[in-house]
Amino acid sequence: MKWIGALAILLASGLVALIRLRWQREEASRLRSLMQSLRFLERGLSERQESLADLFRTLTEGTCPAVRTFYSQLFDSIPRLGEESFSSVWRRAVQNCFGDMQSGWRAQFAALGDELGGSELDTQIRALRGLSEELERRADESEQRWSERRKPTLGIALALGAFVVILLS
Amino acid sequence: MNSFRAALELMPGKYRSELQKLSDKHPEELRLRCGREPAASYGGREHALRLPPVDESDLRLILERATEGSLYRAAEAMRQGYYCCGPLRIGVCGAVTANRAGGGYRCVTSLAIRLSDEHRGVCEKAAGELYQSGFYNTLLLSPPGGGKTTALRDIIRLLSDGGTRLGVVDERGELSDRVFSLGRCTDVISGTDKLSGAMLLLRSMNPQVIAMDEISAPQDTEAVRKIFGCGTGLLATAHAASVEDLARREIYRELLTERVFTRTLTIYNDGGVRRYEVGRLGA
Repeated sequence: MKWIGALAILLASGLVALIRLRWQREEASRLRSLMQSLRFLERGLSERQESLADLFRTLTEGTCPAVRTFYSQLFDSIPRLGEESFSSVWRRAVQNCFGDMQSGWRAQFAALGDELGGSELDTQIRALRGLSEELERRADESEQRWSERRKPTLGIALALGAFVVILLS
Repeated sequence: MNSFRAALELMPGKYRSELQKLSDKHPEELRLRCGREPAASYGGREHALRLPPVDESDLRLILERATEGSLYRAAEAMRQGYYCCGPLRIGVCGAVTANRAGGGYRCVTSLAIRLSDEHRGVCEKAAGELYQSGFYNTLLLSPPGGGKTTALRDIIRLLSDGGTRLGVVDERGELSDRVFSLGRCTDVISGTDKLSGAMLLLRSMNPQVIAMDEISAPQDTEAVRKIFGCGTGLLATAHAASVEDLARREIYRELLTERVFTRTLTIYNDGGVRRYEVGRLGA
């Protein structure tokens, strides 16, 4: 029984470590999907001057669920412009879909909603470009952190688990 | 979609239910001016409506809805004075910015929303007089808001469904073949100036007649001359109440002297009822 208990503790610590690593990896993946969606918006505006509604509709078919949901909320709000400002719809969607992520970039991303849809195209393109570069940088950092910490995190978790086993025995 | 319903969808909520009651009056235009009640044109004149005065945020909301939240799409069109959105043509007026940045307006102070619906067959009788052994180069005349574009669409469709190959230069998307039927033998080029569009059509689509709306600038008359020189038929519109009115303006006077057009179709508006008369030029 003792050995079963010890094994359970070790497995639990390993699982916690894996969940944490997976969360970090998903965060990097979400940042990257978001960065790609901003690049898509930038191209749509600069090359074809497409409407935001058309661009958002295309982005509702992306692969990342959080990014899909984000653009679905924006697309659904377009026919109701005037009942609520686009800027506040954007901020709410950012909070709903990305509120659980690290906040360093969220304020800048939320402020993008104040720019999009206006009459000055160059300002919007510049804001999209700047933010997509920032997100790419953060996604790279997040992935690097994940690959550097993967083995130590797992090692430390298992060591802690072993320590708990020793203490209890 | 019916143009009146399309216009209602753009309106702020405070105006919709009252405007809805106008549907049986078949308004041709809705006017919104900052600080004034909204107004509607029907029966040949403008009627002020008993509604709260318009403010700048109402006008901005209408433009945002018309552009699906993308004002930048309307920027270039607004610099020319209006934006086409489905069956609607939204004229824009306001304080123009010095460098024409953005949409070209520091603030928008009024909108004129022209409602266009398809009126099939209004020019059927007149169209019969424009084609015998060949198509007579024709100029449609009326003052602004007189129904030239509606008549042009109808004639294009009638000729096209009769088997004539039409090429249409739809510079600002106002003829809008995605919303209105322009006939089974019609090719449309849009988003380009009339001269470039006409040359593209002549080179690639072998039209028998080329149609365009609003000849109003010297480069438009250059396009007309180029088409005339190629032996392709011409159908166009011009702002003028009559041939005499036309002849007072230099760009049209040259076309009249050169006998580019041999027929006119003048549109008269008698208290909201339109009458179409074919005339001969330079007989």
